[in-house]
Amino acid sequence: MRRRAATVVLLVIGFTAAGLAGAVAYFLPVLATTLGATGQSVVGALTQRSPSDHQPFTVLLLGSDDDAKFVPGHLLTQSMILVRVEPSSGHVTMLSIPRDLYVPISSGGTAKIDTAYADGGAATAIATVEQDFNVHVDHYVWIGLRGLVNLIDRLGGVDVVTTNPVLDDFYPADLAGGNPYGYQRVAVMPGAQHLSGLTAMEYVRSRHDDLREDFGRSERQQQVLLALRTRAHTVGLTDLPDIASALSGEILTDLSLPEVADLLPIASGLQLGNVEHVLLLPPVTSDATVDGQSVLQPDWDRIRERVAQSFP
Amino acid sequence: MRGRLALTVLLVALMAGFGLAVYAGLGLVHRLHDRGAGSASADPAELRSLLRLPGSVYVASGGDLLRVRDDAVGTVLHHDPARRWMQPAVVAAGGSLLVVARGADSSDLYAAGADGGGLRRLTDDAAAPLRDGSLERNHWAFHPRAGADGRVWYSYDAPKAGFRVDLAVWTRPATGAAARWSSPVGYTGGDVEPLPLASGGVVYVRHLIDDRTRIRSQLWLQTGPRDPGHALTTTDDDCSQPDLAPGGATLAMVCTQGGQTAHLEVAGFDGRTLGTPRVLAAGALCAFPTWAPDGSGLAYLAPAPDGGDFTLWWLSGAAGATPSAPRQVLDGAALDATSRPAWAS
Repeated sequence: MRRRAATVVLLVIGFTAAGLAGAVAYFLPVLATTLGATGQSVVGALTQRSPSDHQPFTVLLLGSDDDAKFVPGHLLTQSMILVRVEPSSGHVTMLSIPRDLYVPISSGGTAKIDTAYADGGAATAIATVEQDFNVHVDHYVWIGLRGLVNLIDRLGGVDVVTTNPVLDDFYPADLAGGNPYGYQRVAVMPGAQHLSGLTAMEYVRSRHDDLREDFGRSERQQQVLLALRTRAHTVGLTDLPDIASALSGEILTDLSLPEVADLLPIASGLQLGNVEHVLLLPPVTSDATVDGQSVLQPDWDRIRERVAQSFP
Repeated sequence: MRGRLALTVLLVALMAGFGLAVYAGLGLVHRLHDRGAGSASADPAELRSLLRLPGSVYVASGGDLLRVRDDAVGTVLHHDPARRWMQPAVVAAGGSLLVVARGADSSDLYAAGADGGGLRRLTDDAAAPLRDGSLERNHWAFHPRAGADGRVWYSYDAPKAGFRVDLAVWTRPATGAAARWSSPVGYTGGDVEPLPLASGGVVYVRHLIDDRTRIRSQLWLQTGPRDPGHALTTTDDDCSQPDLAPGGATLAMVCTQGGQTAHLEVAGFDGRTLGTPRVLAAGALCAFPTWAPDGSGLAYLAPAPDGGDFTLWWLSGAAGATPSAPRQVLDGAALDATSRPAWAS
């Protein structure tokens, strides 16, 4: 009798272990990507508020071109968006920082802000934003160009109301696998539509035929980010390995895995009407030329006054 | 002893099989979920018509041009590596079609029969790269429409200069040279979606930067090629994609108020001005309302109810005071929401 019971227990343990092994094998890419991407240390970071504290917190979103034109580890940030989340009210503020903004860099000297990440990674980018904008950054998330394309495709695309025809005769053909310095033509039609990863990237990255230059691009980036959040509602547990594979090596964050898990319900509860968009349009910035390069000169008094209102 | 060994081997094999089954089962759940989450097939054989509309409705899907007639969905034009078909328009109540063939760096207008036969290219917009690799000699032609007088109206990206590539409204007669009608605001993407009027004028969508540095679209009416024209809607309304009901007294359009929802609206039109608009569908992503040839209602594009791909919807009695609730026309479709449905009687 006892022997039979022991056999049954052994069988249950055996089948459970086999089932778990199958599940672990399935979710292995998730484990590998999350271990590689999350919990990045940021040297010099200040005290951090966690999404689980239910206190307002800030996240610096960084996006980089990481094609063959660039040296890995020294990437410029084409996109910098500072996000403040108030978990209690669900209010979100998104401040797009123009990549050409000419600022003091925390590691020394004055340059376009897109060089901060190339100079010293996330720590320098965060410290530069903190010192120049008088804000506190709790966390950061960096994503590469291919990572965003892959992520959107793995989510099945995003639904966006594109504001105007986005046309560009000099769009970089750097994702096609050929000459990364070559060109391709872009024409994204206006109106409500479903965008694939590549078309969404063309929409948010093109800037040559936009009277508002980088500001127009920043607005489009915010639109796609929010559309991405809507699409994330459709993600199920079994989709995660596919998404993790798509993001492998293309995403980095100092958020720990439990903090990412805490963030997901906040993100899914976000209402579009509760999102405040901030762009640093003229007169708080103005065009200038420094050492032969086109830059945006900040009016720090006005910028800090505006930022203090939205990032108290 | 030998029997026990065999039993042990069998159990171990079953356990391994169970582990593999868990792995495969999770993958299967993922694939099924993937299919449900908006990756509907564009294969006409898998499309189902849920509603019978009068006449033929042409829609674009995955680079193919489809025709919905009675309960059947068929492919009229198949895409190939060099050409993806989009933005169909009917000519002479559906006797023939205008359609855009989009390539990697240019697009051309084509004329075709109602069944896709007799293809004839109307423009020649592809050009070889310049020595530095730039492609600026290529052109885009989009949004064709046929006027009652036989002229073809479309948006075309000329003239260009440097980084500036803006679409303008152009028209070409059956014989003779094409002529530009509109002067777009630079670096906005320009003027699109011409809607020729029986009076000889044209309504189109103008993009501009408003006094708060926001990019907005406005319906614009122009009576002649040198007429500066005037706005039919405000920049705050942010309206586009106009279509005029048979008889020309009611105009359907999509307005976003600068947001990420696209309302379906209709308004009276007296040939010069628009009346107060009425919202027929709000809180959704509506695209390209298209009147039935008999004016009995509107077909338009919007995502399927489960948040899936854009599909075809029908709104009966749209011009009246009490339109019916929208009804889904196609099931399983992934339609190109930048292509207006073309409706032939």
